[in-house]
Amino acid sequence: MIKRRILVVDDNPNERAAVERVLLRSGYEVIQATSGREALLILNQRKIDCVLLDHLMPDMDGLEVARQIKKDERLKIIPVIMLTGRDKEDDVLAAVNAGADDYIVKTSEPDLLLLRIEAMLRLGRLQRELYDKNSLLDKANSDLHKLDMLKSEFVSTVSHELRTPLSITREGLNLVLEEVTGSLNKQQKELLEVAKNNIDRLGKIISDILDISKIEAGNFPIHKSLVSINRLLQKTFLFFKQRAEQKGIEITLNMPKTEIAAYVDGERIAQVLSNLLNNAVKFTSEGGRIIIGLNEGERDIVCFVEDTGIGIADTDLDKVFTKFQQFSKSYGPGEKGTGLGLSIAKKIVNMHEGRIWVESQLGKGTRLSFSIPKYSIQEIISSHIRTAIRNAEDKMSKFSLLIVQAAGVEKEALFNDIEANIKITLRRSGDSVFSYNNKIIIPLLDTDRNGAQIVKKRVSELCQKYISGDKRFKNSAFTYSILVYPDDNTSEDIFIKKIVG
Amino acid sequence: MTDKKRILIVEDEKAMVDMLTIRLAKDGNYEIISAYDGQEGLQMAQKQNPDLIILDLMLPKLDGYKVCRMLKFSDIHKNIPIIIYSARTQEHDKKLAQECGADAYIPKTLGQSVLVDKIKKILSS
Repeated sequence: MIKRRILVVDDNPNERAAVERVLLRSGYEVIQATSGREALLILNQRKIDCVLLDHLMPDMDGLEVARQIKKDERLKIIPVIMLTGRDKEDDVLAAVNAGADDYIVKTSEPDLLLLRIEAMLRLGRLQRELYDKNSLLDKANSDLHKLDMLKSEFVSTVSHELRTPLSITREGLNLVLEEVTGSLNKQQKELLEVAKNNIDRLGKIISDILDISKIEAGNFPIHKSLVSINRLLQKTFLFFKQRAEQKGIEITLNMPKTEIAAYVDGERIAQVLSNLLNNAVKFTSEGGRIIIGLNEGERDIVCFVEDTGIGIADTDLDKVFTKFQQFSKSYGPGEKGTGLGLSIAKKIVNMHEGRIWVESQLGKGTRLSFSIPKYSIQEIISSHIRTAIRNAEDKMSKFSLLIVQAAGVEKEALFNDIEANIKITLRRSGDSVFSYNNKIIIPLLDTDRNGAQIVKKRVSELCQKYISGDKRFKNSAFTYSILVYPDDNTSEDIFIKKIVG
Repeated sequence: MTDKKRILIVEDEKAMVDMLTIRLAKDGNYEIISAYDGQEGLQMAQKQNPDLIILDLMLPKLDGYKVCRMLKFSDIHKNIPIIIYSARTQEHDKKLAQECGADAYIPKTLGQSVLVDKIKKILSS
C-alpha cells in the first residue's frame, strides 16, 4: 500500500519531532517544513495528502499559509489541519475563515490527532475524485462546444458551397427558358420549368437547414424595430398571390384599415409568414381558398393563415412544429415540405415572446396562427436602448442618441418624412426612429459623438427643408441634443429620463 | 464609331461570367471584360476605366467589400457605378454593401435578368 504523506509545518523543532513520532508509528510518511514559505515550496513540488499547520509562526503564520493553499487552484483540494495552542473560539474561527478544513489543540491525545488525520485523508480522497471528475467534465464540455462550433461552421460553409453550383444551374436554365439562346417548344418549356422549380426547392431546403443550425447554435440574432404589420402582410401577400392563383387557389388578405405597428424583426416575421403561406399553397389544391388575417387584441397581435387544404390528422397535430416531420408523404404524388418551415417559424415566434398554434381538420383545412405581444412605446424605447447599450458593451463601441425636439410642427407627417429620409439619405437601414412626446428619437448604434454630429447635421438640414417656405411652420423651431454612451456617463435610466422629460 | 459601354465583371465562377456575357450580348452593345479575383478586378478597374462594375463579394485574394471601398475612396474612380451581385442574401450583407459605397445590391437569388435591368437603368441615367 502507498504510504500517505503528511506535511508537518512548525517552527519549533521539538514539536515537529513529537508529531512526527506519532505519525511514523502509524505508518505515515512525514515531511517537515520549518516555515510557511518552505511549506508552500514543498507543496508545489511534491504530492502531499494532508497538511498539519502550526498556527503561530514567525514571518508567515499558519493562517496565511492556509489562505495561500486554498487560493491555489491545484493545491486547494489538499486538506489542512490547523494546530492551535489553545482551544479558544477566536482561534478556531480564524482557522476556519482562513480556509483550514479542521483544527486540533496541540495538547490533544495522539489518538485524537490520528483520528482527525484519518478523517481528513478520507475527505481529501473524495475531493480529489470530485476534482478529477470535474476536470473531465470541463474538458468534455469544451470539446462539445468546439464540436458544435465546428458543426455550425461546417453547415455554413457547405451551404455556401452548395449554393454556388445551384445558382449557376438556375442561371443556365433561365437563359434557355427565357429563349435568349433560341426558341423552345411547349414541352421543352414545361420540363425546364419543373427543373427550375426543383432547383428553387433545393435552395429553400439549404437555407432552412442553415437557419436551423444557426438557431441551434444560438447564432440567429433578432434585430427588432418598429414595423408596420399591415405593410408586412401586404408585401408577403403580393409575393404569394401569383403563385396561389397559378395553382387555381383564391387568396385573400383580411386586415383592419388602421395601421398596426409591432416591435419585431421585420425580416424574420416575414419569414414566419412565408413559411406558413408556403405550406398553405403547397397543401391546398385547385379551387381551394387561402385567407391571411390579422387581429389586434388588447395584449397581442394575432396573424393567421387559413386554408381549405388536405388538413392534418389529430394524432399528428402535436408534431407539426417538430423538425423533419412531414405528413404529406401519405398523400400520393403531391408536393412535399422540407419539414423545417414550421419548426423555424416556431423558434422565431418564441424569440419574440410570442406563441404559435395550429387548428386543423383532416380533409377540411388548416389554420396556423401566431401572436406577438404588444408593447407600449415607452417599453419599446426602453428595450431598444437597453439592447443598444448591451451591443455597445459587447463590441466595446459607442452608442449615441439623437433627440430632436419639435415645437409647432405637425408631428405625424414630419415624423414619417424624417424616418423615410434618414433611412435613405443616411444609408443606415438598421436604425430605428421613434416619435414620442413631441420628440423624434433616433438611436444610433455603433456611433460615436463625431458620427452623431454628422447625422445631426443631415437631420437638421432635412427638418429645415421640410418647414421652409411653409406658412404653417412660421413659428416652428427645432432643438437637437446628443447623448453618448459611455462617454456622457450615461445609463439606461439617464437616456429614458432625457426622452421622457 | 459606336458608343460601346465597357462593363467589368469581377466574379470567380467562370460559368457565371459566361452566362452573363451571353445575356448582355443578346441585350445590347456592350464590351465585357472580366476578372476572376479581387486583386485582378481592382487593377482592371483602375487601368481600363470601365463604365460599370459588377462585383461579387466572396472573391479570392481580395474580397468584394474591400475592392468596392478602395475604388469609392479614390477620387479618380469613385464615379464608376458598382453593382454588388452576391449569393449573400441577409439584411446584414445588404447593409455592409451599402456601407462600402456600392450603388446597388442585387442578390444572386433574384437572377441575372434583374441584374441586367439594373445595369440598363444605371447606364442610361
